[in-house]
Amino acid sequence: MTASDASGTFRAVATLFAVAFAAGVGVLFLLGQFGLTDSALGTIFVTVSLLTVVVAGIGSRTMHTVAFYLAGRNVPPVANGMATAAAFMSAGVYLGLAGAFFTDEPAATTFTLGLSFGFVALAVLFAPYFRKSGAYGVADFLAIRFGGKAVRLVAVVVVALCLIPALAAALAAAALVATALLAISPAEALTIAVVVVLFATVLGGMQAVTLAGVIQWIVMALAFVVPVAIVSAQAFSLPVPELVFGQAREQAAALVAAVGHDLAALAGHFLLLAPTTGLGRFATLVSLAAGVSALPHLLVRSATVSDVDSARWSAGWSLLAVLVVALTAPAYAALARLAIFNDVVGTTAATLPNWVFAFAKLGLVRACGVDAVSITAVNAACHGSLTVGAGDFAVSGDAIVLALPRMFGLSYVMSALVAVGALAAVLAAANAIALAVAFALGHDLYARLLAVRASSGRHLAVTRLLIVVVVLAAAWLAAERADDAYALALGTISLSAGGLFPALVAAVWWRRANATGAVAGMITGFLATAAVVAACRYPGLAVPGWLAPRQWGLSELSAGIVGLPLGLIVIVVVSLVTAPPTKERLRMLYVIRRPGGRPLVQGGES
Amino acid sequence: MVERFVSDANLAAWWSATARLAAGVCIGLAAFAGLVLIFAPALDHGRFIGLPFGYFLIALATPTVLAVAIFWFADRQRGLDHRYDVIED
Repeated sequence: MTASDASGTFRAVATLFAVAFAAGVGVLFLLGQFGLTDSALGTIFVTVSLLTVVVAGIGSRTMHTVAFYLAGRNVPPVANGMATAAAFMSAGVYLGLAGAFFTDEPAATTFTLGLSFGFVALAVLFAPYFRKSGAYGVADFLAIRFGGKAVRLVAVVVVALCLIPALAAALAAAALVATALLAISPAEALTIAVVVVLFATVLGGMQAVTLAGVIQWIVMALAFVVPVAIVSAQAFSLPVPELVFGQAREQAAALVAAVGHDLAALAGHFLLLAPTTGLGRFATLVSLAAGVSALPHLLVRSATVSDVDSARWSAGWSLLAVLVVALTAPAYAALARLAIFNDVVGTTAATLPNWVFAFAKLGLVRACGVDAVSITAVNAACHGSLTVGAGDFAVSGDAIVLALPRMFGLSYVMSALVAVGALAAVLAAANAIALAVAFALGHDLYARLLAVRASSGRHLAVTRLLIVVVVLAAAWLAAERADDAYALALGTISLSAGGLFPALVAAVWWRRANATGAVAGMITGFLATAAVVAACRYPGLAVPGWLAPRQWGLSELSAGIVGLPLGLIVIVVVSLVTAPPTKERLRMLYVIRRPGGRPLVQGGES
Repeated sequence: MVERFVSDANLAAWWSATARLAAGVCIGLAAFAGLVLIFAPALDHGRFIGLPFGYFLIALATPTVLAVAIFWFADRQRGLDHRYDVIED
C-alpha cells in the first residue's frame, strides 16, 4: 500500500467511524428516552466500543514484519498524530489533568506546558532521525547508532523498567472506570481490559494499534468535548467551554469568598502532582519535556510514517490532538467547582445530589472525613450538622471528568460517553506501552541478542508471546499494587528523561559520543532517577534528611532533573576518555541525520 | 524513491543550518515560556475571556503557541532540506 493509499484508507475509516459513533450516541440517547435502563445503556455502549477495538485488532492481523512492528511505515502524519496522542494520554491526562486543575492550578499548568515542550523536543530533536533509522524501538535505534550488544541490552532493561508501571497503571485505571460504569467486580473489569488489549496487539502489532489508536482518539475527543460543550451551552449560552470557563471560575471564586473557605482536599490517583514553586516547577518542566520526548512508545510511532518530513509534521499533529483534551480540562475543573458550590455546599445531607453518593462508593467523595455513601453516613460523620460546609466536603480530582455530566443533570448517555472516552484513553495507552515493551524484549533481546539465526517468523511468534507475558505481568501488578502503579507511572516520564533522553540526544547531536559513554550514561541517569522516584514514593527508605527529595521540591514527576544532567555528564566524560566512534559508526550517524534515502533498517535487518 | 548524490560540503552546510534551526527553536521557545512564567503573575491584573491574563497565557496560549511552533519548524526544515537538496524524491 502506498502512502497515498494509506492516507485515503485512514481518512475513510476515521470519517466513517466518527459518523457511526456520533449516530450510535444519538441512538442510545433515543433508547434512553424510550425507557431503556441506564445499566443496559452502559453495557451496550461499553460492549460496542470495546468490540470495535477488538475488531480493529483482528482485522489488522499480519504476518509481515514491518507491518507488525511499524505499521508498514506508511501511516499518514495526521493519523499518526491521533494515534500518538491516544498512546500518550492515558488516565493521567484524560481523567487526571482536569482533577489537577481542580486541586492545584499552578501544578496543572506546569504539566500542560511540560508535555507541550515534550512534543516540541520530539519533533526537533528525535522524530526525523528515528524515522530515518527505521528502528523498531529505542533500543534498536541506540544500537544502530552506537553498535555493540551492551547498548542494546541496557536500553532494553531501561525501556522495560520505565514502562511496565505505566502499563499496570493504565490497566488499573481501565478496571476502575469499567467498574464504575458497569455492574461488575474490579477483577472482572481487569480481565476484560486485558482481553481487549491482547486482541488489539497480539495479532496485528503496530498496524492494529495504529488503527485502534485513531478510533480511540476520535472516541476520547468526542467524549471529552461534547458533554462539557453541552454544559457550557446550558450554563453560559455558548458551547465553547474554553471561552466560558473563565466566567465559571470567577463565579466559583466569588462563592468561595462568600463561604469563607474552599473545599477540603482529597488526593487523586491518576495525576498526583506535587505542589510546584520555584525550583520544583522548573524541575517538573524540564523532566516532563525531556521525558515525554524520549518516551519509547511515542518515539517508535515516529518510525511508522512514510518519510522524515512526515515525522516532524506528525509530532505537531500529536500535540494538537493532545491539546484538544488538555486545553478543555480547565473548563471541567471550573464548571465542577461551580456546580459543587451551587448544589452541595450549604445543603443538608438529605438534599445532596445523587452523584455525591455514587462517586463516594468509589472512594472519590468524602464528607466530614468519611466516604459520603449515604445520607445516614453523612449525618453521622457530620454529627447532625444541618448543612454541609465547604471545608467538610471533598471531591477527588479523579472524579471531576466522570462526574461533571451528572453534576449538571445531563442524560445518562453523556455520563456513559465520558466513561467510554476514559476507557478508550487508558486502553490506547496500554496497547502502545505493551507493544513498546514487547518489541524491546522480542526484537532487541530475543531476535538481536539471543536468537539471531532464528527465522523472522519465529521472531514474530516470540514477540507475540511476549506481549501476552508483559500484559499479564502488568495486570498482576495492577491487581495487587494499583496505588504503587499509579505513583510509579508518573516516574515513567522521569525515568525516560534520566535514562533515555541523554543517550538519545548524544546519539543524534554529538558525533563524538560512543557506545561506552552511552551505556554508562544510561545506567547512571536511570539509577539516579530511580533512586529519587523510590525515595519520593517510599519516604520510609533510609535516606539522609538533607537528601530527601521532597525537601528539595522534587516528586516522582520531576525526578528526571537529577538523572538527566548526570546522564549527560557521564556520556560526555566517558566518551571523551575512551576511543572515538569507528568510521562505520560515524557513517551510520551521517545516514541517520540525512533525510534522503531509505531507512537503515529494512524489513527487520539492521 | 531516488537517492541523489549530495556532496559532503553540501551535507555539512545543511547540517549546520539544521542544528542552528533546532537550537533556535528550542532556546527561543524556552525563553518565551520562561518569560511568560516569570511575568504571568504581573499580567493577572488584566482579563481576557474572563480569565486573568497571565493565567490565560500559561494555561491556554503558550501550549497553543508551542503546537504552532512545531508546524513552523517543520515548514522551515522542509525549506532547508529542499534548499540543500538533501530530501528524497
